[in-house]
Formats: sequence, structure tokens, C-alpha cells
Amino acid sequence: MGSGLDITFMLEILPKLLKGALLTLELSILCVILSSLAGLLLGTARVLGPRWLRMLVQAYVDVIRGVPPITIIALAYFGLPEVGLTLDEYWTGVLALTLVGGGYAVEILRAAIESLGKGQSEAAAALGLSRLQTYWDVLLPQSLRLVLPPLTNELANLIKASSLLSVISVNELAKTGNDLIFQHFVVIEVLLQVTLLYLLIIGSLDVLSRWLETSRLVHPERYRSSA
Amino acid sequence: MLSALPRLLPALWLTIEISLIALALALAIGINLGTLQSYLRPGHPVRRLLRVYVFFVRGTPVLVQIFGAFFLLPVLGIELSPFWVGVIALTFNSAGYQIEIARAAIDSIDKGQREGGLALGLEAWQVQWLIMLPQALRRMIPPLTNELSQVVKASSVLSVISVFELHKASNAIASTSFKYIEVLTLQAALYFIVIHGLSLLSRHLENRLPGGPKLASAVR
Amino acid sequence: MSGLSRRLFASAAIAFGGVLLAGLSPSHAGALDDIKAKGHFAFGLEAQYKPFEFRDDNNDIIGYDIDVANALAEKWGVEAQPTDTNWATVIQTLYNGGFDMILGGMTATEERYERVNFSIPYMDASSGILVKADSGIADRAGLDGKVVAAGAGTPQIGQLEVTAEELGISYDGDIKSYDDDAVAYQAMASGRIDAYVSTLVSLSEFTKTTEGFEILPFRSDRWATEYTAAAFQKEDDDLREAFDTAIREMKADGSLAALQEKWFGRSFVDGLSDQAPAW
Repeated sequence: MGSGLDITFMLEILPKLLKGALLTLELSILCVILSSLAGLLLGTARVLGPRWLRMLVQAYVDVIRGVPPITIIALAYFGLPEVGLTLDEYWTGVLALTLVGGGYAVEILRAAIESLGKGQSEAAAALGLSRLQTYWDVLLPQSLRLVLPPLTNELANLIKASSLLSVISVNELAKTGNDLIFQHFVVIEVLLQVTLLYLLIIGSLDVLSRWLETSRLVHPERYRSSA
Repeated sequence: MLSALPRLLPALWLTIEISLIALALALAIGINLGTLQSYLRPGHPVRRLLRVYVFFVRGTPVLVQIFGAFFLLPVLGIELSPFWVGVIALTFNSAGYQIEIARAAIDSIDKGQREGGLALGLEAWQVQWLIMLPQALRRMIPPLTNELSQVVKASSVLSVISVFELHKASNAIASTSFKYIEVLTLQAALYFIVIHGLSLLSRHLENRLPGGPKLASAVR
Repeated sequence: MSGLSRRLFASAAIAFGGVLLAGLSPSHAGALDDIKAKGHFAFGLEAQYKPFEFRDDNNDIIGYDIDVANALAEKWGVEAQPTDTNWATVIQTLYNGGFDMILGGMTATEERYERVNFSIPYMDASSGILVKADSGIADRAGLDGKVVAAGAGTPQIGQLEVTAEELGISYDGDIKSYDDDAVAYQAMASGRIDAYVSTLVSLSEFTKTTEGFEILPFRSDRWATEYTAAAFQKEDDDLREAFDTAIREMKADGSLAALQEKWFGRSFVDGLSDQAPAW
């Protein structure tokens, strides 16, 4: 059993774990991009679309937030082949996580637009802009900056959710770690490294998110000198 | 499809049971640690330690925390059934979020209350128990209801350590009947009723009990 | 005489014999003596492995291992206590004193032998390939170009890798692995995987209740014939030898075969080696 940590072993398995971490990152970044696009699409549909469309989008958001991610992953894995769409486990995972992320992305966009305040919409209306123009040319562009910090947060959430793809045999970080534990009957060294890798990745995103919140990029109005 | 329902209900009950126990234990822990965090000055080592704990809980997937409990408890000589390992893991996770809920609730109470209590000659612990905590708990009810829905979501991950909660039971039934789409849909519907129901309840309570902290739900 | 009084008589005879032997043999502080003094022994398992050990509707642990343990207990004049534990750390727990032996459907492997000693085999643990009845796969070589899967963290993954190298075949994609057998069975039914490799025994459990599947043998000279054995701390020779003696008796009088027929549908006694797996 030994008294200290087996550092040699930890270094030995590090390359495999890094490979898993890379897959986790790759997958999650892909998903956050796709879910942002989905969120944009659905969010726009919710603002501009007819009533039935708005209700549909709201239903989607409610279902995504009301069902555990592991269930959604299982439904995607077994359900999609039934409707003729058999993707391999990696792409099934991307689809499932995009569905999950999209539900939150819609809300992020909504919160950003609401935070711009009624003043913008009223001013635009006073200037004779249609609802569509108000949304597309005034509100949305400003929102895109504001969504950057919460989207970074969303990426962190997706990275955590990606660990669940281990149940459909995707070799991301958590599954790689689990397999190593059973292969070598070593627990602490593996868990320690897996934990540190996740903390490193998510901690960095935390820092990025906080920096973005105070940066010029997201809040240029704070940096303008007074007239 | 509905034929699977009677076999899923005991598992749904287990899901609810395990979530309630974990929530209650995490509340006891969270309230104490949250109060601590509220009263200690920012640089205090204990406060720093608590921040590390919260960072850990938020910075790792629930799956890793569950595996951690599952593999490490026996190494420490603690032998527990998967059910109780699950309770410990979920408690550990929820407490990390409840520290924030408690701290925010306590901070939202007018400092004047505490000063007034002390001025009236009450001891510090009396001020805490009779004035601050009752008000804090009242404000915590909406976010706690939401937190319960989060714990129920997290409980689905306990399937990987063989706890016979709803997700695992649903898998077991699907594998022998092969009506997996139906069983999965049923599983999703049952979860939805509980989780969305709790979310709605939380929002309703938020409107009726104003003055408390509002916390956005996050994917764990 | 009736079963109960027969058991009482046997226990009394064993106890009397034990006292006699204890008086006659040199004093020897061993695990077996401790057990007889305590009046019970605990055996480690994870009650999730049908039909070796699992929980019935009353949440009691039942299964082949429980019956074998009870037979041992009867021979030794003590009680057997099944101890449900976490399988991944079962060896650790054995050395922590959580139980006296591991009797949980454990497959004897070289890696595990580094830390425990095994009894003689009391059940077969060889692997099998689960395929759909109409799959057209007839043997190991038929796995060429197919999507294959095994249980997460099981020796079968390594066996699939060895097979690929040995027969010069390659699979469609990586070897998939699932932590839950149930997910693997669903994956096979839905066509996501073509073959699932696991122990003959657990696959038989599945085919007992489900139609349309068949199990092909999965053996090779490249890996040792697999057996299920009890595991003991390295120094507990006396306990292990007592276990071996008991199993030999049960093989000879047919009681082991009877238990296997009860739980697995047939006897595997003929294929069981009389030697404890060792490396």
C-alpha cells in the first residue's frame, strides 16, 4: 500500500489523462459554440415569432432544465437511431450536450437583452424602428457582448456535464480516469490527477469569466471618458 | 409503456428519499458554514478554507465527486452501502452551494437587527438563533426548493455506483423488455414532474417571500 | 431423522470433534481458529452480481455464494455473514479486517494474485461473446470488422485486445465499454454494438430471460482458463486450506453440482481444476 504517493505511476498515466482532458475540452468547446448558435436561433424565435413558436421554445427550455442531463444523453443515444439518425457516440454526445446547453443559452440571451433596459426599445420605437429592426439592429448587437461572461460559465458547466458521456463510452477525462482505476487497482493517484485537471480547466474559465465582466470588450460604456 | 410505471415508482421514491436526506444534511452544514462566512472578516483563514471547498465543489463534475466518495471511503476504513455513499456525495456537493445560499440570506438581513438585539442585552448566540436564523431560513426557502431540484438532478448520476434510483432502475427494466425508448421517456417524464414542479414551487415562493437572495440554477 | 435435527447432530458432532482435535493438535493461532472461537465468519461480496449474490424482493442477499458460504459454515459449525461492500476496493477492505475472506464471484487473475491467495476454483469464470441469434457471427474470428464492447474495467477488454492481435483481426472503431450491463444489452438490441463480451455466467442470466440472443465461447491459449475462487489474505493459509477441503468434499458428494444447477442451470464441476490458481 505504501506510505506516499506513487509519483512515477502518476507521471506514467498523465499522457492518457491529458488525452482525455483534451477530448473533454474539444467536445465542450464545440458544444458551447453550437448551443450558442442554437440559443441565438431559438431566442430570436421566441422574441419575434408567433405565439405557438414562443410556447414551443419555452417548452424546450423547461424540459431541458427539468430533466437530468444523463437522461437526455441516454435518450439521444437510444432515441436517435430510432428516427434514423445513428451517430457514433462522440457525435451523439455532442448533440445531447448541445441540446442541454441550448436550453441555458436561450435564457442567457434573454437575460442579456432584458438587462439593456426598456429605454432602448422605447427610444427605437420613438425613432420609428419596427420590432424586428429594434431587435436585430439595436438590442442583439449589444447583447452579444454581454453574453460573453455567462457563456464562459456555460462552457464550464458543459465541461462538467461532459463527464456524463462516459456512460455511452466516450473516452473523455472521467472515463479515462475510471478505466485506469480498474486497470491498475490504484485509486488515489488517479483521482487526484483527474480532480486537479478539472479544477485547472474550470478555474481558468472562472478567471476568464471574471476578467471579461470587467473588461472593455464587454462593457465599453464604462471606459468611455465623459463628454 | 405505462406497464413499467409500477416498477419505476419504488426507484422514484428512492430518488426523492436520497435527495431529501442529502438536502437536509447539507442544510445543517451549509447554514453553519454560511453563517461563519458571513461573520468572519474576508482575510480570515477559515473563510479562505471555505472558499477552497466551494471552489472544489463547483470546479469538479458531480460524477467525479461521487466516484471520489465511492473509492475513497473504503480506503479510510468506512464501509457503507451505495445508498449512504450516495447520500454523503450529494451532501458534500449540495453543502458547497448551500454555503452561498445561507451566506446571501444572512447578509440580506439588515445589520440593524443584530445591533438592535445586542443592544437589548441579548447574548450573541441568542441573537443568532432567535433573530437572525429564523429570518434567514425564511428567505432561504425559495432557493432551497430550487436546490432540491438540483440535488434530484444530481441523484441520477448515482446510477454509476449502483444505487437503484430512477435512472438505474429504468436501465434495468429497459434491458429486459427492450422497450427502451418508452421506458426512457417515462423516466424523463417522472423526473420532469418532480424537478420542474420544484422549480415552479420555488418561483412561486420567491414571489410570496420577497427580500431573499435569488440564485440562478446552474448545470452541475 | 429430520433436516433440522440432522443439522443439529452434525453441528454437535463437528463441535465435539473440533474440541477433540483442538485438544490433540498443537496450538496454532490461525484465522480458522479465530473464526471457530468467534462462532461466525464474514465474507466480502458486492450484492449486484446475479446469480452469485444479489438482493431479493425483501432486500435480503441471496445467491450461489451465499449458499456455498452456508455450506462451509455448516461444516465448520459456525455462522456465515455476507458483507456487502464496494468491489473496486474489496481487497483493501479484506486487509482492513472488514471480513475474513472474499467470496464474491471473484475471478482469479494474476494482478489480484499479487495481493491475495486464491482457493481452488469453485465455479467457472470463463468469458463468452453475446451476439444476436441472426448476427452471422459464429466464433471469435467472426468479430473482425464488428463493433465490440465489454464491461468497463473488466479483464474482457484486455482479452479482446489480445484476440485482435492473436487472430490478426481488427474491430470497427475502439472497443466500447459500459459501466452498466443493462446499457450494453440495450445497445446491442438497438444495433449500436454487434457483440458484448462478459462472463459466461452473467450473460447466461440475460439469455435465460430474453429471446433472440446466443452466447459463443470466448477462450484462448493466450489467457489462462478463468475460474471463480475465494480470496484470502496471504498469511491465512489455514483458512484457505480449510476452504479447499470443504470444496473438495462438496465436489465429491455432489452438493456443489447441485448448487450450480440451482443457480446456473447446469453443473460446471467437471471443468473445475483441482489446483488453486497461482502465478
